[in-house]
Amino acid sequence: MSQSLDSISQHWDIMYQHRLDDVASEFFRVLRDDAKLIATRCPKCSRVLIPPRSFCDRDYVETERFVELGHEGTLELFTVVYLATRGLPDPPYAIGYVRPDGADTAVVNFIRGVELDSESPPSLQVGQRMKILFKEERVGRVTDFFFEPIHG
Amino acid sequence: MDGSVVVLGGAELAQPVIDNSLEHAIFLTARAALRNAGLEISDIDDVVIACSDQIDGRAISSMITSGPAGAHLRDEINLASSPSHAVAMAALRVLSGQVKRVLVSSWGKHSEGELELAEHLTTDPFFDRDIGLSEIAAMGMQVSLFRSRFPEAASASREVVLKNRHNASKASLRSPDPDSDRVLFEDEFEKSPIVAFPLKRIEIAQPIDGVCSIVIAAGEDTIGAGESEPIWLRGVGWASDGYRLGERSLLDLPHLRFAVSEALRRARLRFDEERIAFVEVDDYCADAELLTCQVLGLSDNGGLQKDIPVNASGGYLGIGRPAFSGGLHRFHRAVEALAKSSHENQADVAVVQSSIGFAGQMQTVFVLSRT
Amino acid sequence: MTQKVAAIGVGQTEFRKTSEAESYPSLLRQAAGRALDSSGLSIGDMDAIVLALAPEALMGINHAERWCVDAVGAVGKPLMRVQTGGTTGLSAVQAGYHHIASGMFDKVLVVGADRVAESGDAQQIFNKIWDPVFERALPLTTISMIAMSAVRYMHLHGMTERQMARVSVKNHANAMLNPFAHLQQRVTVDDVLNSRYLAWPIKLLDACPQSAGGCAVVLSSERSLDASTHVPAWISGIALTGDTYFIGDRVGPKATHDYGDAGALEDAARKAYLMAGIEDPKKEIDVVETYASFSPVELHNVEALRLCDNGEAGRLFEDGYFDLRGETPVNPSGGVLCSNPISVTAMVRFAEATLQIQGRAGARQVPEVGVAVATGAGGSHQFFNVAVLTAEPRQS
Repeated sequence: MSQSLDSISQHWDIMYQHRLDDVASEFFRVLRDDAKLIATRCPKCSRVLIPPRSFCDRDYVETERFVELGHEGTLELFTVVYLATRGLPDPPYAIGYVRPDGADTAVVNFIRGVELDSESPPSLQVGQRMKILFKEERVGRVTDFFFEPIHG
Repeated sequence: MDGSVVVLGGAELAQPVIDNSLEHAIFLTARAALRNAGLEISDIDDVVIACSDQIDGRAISSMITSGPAGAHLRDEINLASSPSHAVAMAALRVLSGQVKRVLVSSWGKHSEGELELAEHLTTDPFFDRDIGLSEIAAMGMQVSLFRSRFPEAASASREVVLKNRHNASKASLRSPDPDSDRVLFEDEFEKSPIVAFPLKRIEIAQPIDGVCSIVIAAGEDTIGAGESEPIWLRGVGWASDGYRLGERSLLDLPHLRFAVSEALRRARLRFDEERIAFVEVDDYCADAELLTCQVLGLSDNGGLQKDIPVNASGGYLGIGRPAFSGGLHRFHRAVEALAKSSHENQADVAVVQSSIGFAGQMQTVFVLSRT
Repeated sequence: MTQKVAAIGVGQTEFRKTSEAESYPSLLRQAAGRALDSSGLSIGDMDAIVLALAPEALMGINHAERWCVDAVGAVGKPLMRVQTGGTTGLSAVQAGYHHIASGMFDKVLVVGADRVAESGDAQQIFNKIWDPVFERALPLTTISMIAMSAVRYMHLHGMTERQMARVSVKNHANAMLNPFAHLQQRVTVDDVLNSRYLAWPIKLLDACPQSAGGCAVVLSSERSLDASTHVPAWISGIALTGDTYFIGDRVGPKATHDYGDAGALEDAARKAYLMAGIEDPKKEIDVVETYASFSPVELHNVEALRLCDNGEAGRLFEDGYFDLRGETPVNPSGGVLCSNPISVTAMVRFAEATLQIQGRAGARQVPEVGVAVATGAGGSHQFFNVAVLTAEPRQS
């Protein structure tokens, strides 16, 4: 097959091994082994932070470990994606940020158990209560948990 | 320069593998720099960083690293071309009179990615990428040219490697034993394979992980009881050469000459003044140190010069070359060395040269002084 | 003492689909050439050059500042490259500004280009901006990021999709008057409402294109200007504020700024207005070029810029208050919604604001512009910069 003379194809394929800090490692261990979410607390502003971080970027100090969070929370942000993108899951799917009970910040994950139909707006509302559910088989990655609306 | 710029303090991590997350390492280093400068984060006006997305493995690395770099609700800019440009930009901001204290940080965790591949991706996809033009290949080409013009460089480069390793030991307070070190070194040198003719692996600085932070401030406003004595940034000059190796004067380095002359002009100094205490230059490979000294006028035949200490810190050959951030580490070490140097010594000026890009394509020169 | 800085010439290329655009170095050269021509200067007059280049993964050459030194006329000269995500184009101008304000340089060329969609779909790359530890496993993109902000704004202020559509209608109509705009098509509110959803509530006609093109600006110190310079546009204020990366930190009672609003933009505007001596933005600002890649963003932007109160924007857009012939024209160029060559998109805002001050904006010219504002946005809707350009120099 002869080469195109109009363009050249290039493929970027760089492997990275991102080192986790000990707070993140512990978060994933607890998630995998105990099906729980843990957070850290800033001693200055008292915010309970999830994703858990080793320091607070507002006060620039190390955080205290660890606060266990509840398994329900408040839906703060959401969308339903209808557009296909190479390398991402097939649409439609819903994602959103839920603030677990006990935390001052929200964490992002998939929202399941919602009708996804591009003809009508999603049946989700900012402020509604959500369940935080854990998969049976967990590996220690954020996709081990997900959100569902609390009905009734 | 009309107006005064000081370096209040700094900190660094430089190891083959930094055993921590990138974000936490940046936070610890930046905070240590603040402490050394006698400051809190609330004393900082602006944040200037220099990072490489393809080394960090994030398409816009400055997003997640802004918090660790102290930039929450601050003005932050990323000079992704070079950490030396980040230092220069911090100085420009202070000189504008609008900003008093800037926290400058740079980093690169070589251990997390594939550095050679990331460097290879800087090449022209149409003409160079298929040819295996890597940074090391470019070094080989520059050095084979240098040694063919200056045959003495071949043996001098061996001395540069030994000297810089020796200096690194001294700087870290290990007591080197010159005699037994020499014997071991000769053996290691003989056994070292040629990786890009004529360069042996031992003559090329090995990449390591690095994070470095410094505080740049307006001279009149040196607040805080810092541990480090403020050092003055008297002059800076920077310039870039073209991309194509085949079109560049790889031995003459006119852009480096321009950067040096601009830095000295702004510092109102001449290079031959007795005030120059030492010089720190970019030893990405041993011959690069020789070549730069030649351009600076410290030598004229490709050999080692002995009048002014060159790379007393150990350079990259002695300590390792922090991926991407090396130029900031060199600047920081020069600042520390100048601050510690004896006040009885008339020589109170240091010249610091760093480069980035293949065969020193982008050059920056700083002139620092103790007074 | 701070040297005053003015933009004295700008250049843009006609923004278009990547597959129809020229090569990256060619776009740089064209943009730079046009800016130099419009300032009546040549590359030899430039003391330093700043390159605006956002994620290189978009155009496919790592650290392309090394590859394109020749294309920007920087061989042997001082060159730096700025990368701050979407704010890059205006951060590069800010870097050029500091070159001159410091007193070290007199003439600086700020230039950039992009070929977004060189990789096929920029959103593949935008998935890689997210934190690899906690967020990369989720299919976040810039579209879903803004969609969530829009959902939040709706919740806080009751915005409707019809109001979003009205923003899109305005921008598309304005773009018809801009020879450089990528998208040149008139749309109606119904066209927008009927276009397919990308991520709720954002629809295709609420969204920016993936564009290729270049932009450049020539900056000058006050002391080196000569009488022949065509109407300098004085940079009287310029600032950036970066919020926390974590979107999840921008919700709930302890958030410093709510993710539905653009608090960091408001902060950057406050700093820039202070530098420029702007006390009553509603009255004093004549025209605004604001970075909004999706229509809902314009609503919270105009509020953050204090052109109206929080929650009022939707109604005002519907009333035509921000139309080209309205009280305070917003995005007379058609905005980001009609051209998005990412590395320079924020520079184009600045260039368009400069043209407005200089009276060179052609059919999209707003009459008698004394104060123009340009803004940029980037990161996880996290970085925001603001420049205030004035026809007269102001005391700092």
